[in-house]
Amino acid sequence: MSALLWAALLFLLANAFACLGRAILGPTLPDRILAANVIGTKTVVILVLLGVVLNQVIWLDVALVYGLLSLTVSLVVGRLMETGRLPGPEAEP
Amino acid sequence: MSEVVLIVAASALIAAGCLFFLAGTVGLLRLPDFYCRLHATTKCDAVGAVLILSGVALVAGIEAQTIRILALIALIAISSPTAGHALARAGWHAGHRPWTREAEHEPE
Amino acid sequence: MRPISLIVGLFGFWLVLTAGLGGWSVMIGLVLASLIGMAAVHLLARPEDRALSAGELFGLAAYGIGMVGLILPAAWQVLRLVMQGRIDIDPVVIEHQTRLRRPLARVALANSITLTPGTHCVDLDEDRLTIHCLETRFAQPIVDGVLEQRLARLLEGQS
Repeated sequence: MSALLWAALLFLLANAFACLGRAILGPTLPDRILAANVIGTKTVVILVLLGVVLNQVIWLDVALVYGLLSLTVSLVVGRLMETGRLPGPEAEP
Repeated sequence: MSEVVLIVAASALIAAGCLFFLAGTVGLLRLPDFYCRLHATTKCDAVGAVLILSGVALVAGIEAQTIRILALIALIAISSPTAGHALARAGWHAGHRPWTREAEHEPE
Repeated sequence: MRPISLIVGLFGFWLVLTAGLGGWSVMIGLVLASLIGMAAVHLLARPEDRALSAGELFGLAAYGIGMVGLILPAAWQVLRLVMQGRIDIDPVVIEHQTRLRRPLARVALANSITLTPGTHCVDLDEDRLTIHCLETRFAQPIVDGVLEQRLARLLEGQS
């Protein structure tokens, strides 16, 4: 079982690097943010796999925090890109 | 006996999850523009992550870590479409127009 | 009154994650849950918000289970699409006027459109949805309003 988990882990790692290619190529800003977001999802799964393979629960806590932060980053950067400022349109005077 | 069934089911879930993740990656690299890539990543990433994490939860058994994995499944299932919407809306309002087949050969 | 349920939920989550590390942990969790709960309600809640009824919670749960049936075919369709030798798509953007009135139902509709094969919701402004479709034929179920009828039944109590 542990061999399969390692295989899945390395496979996802390769996938994440392929997605990094899209982040480098662009061509537009949303493309890059989307690639970063996708890498974030893959990282969460990689962290969980690491936690189970190494039998250390602390990795799962790292994955939880990473997942929450990854979502927050996507939302905040999306809003920043949409309005050019962080408080958003309804906060304008 | 049930041990074997459990491991086979978990392996199948993890393998299927990897396949969907691969589809997300290939879609991200091959599709022509941002909005099409969003189609690939929001769907395939959510499904892939949920499948792999379910498989892992099956192997891990009922322990403290299973609850964390279940929380992660819920988090990803909710966050993936949400992030997809936020990015799509941001791109749309920032003025990025979608790729169409007619516009393919015209200069920008 | 409303922060109470949120604080209870947050504290439950804390208990699940720490799995009973003793008195201090429970105390810290209680303080943190109260602070976060009150701050969240103060910052995010609007006066027109109200708590969900049991029927609506049931509707949301049924909707969530229905989503599983939608997203699996959608992911499979993307899988087939990107593995082809030549990607054959002709994306269009359509606008759709929804007859759902509650914001909750509208958000649920946008979410389900994103998870349906070949469509992705781009914008939701009052009752106007902007939808990006990979091909024109994927837009048909949305124009017909199949999902909308189901959501209206589940979340707005209409038949």
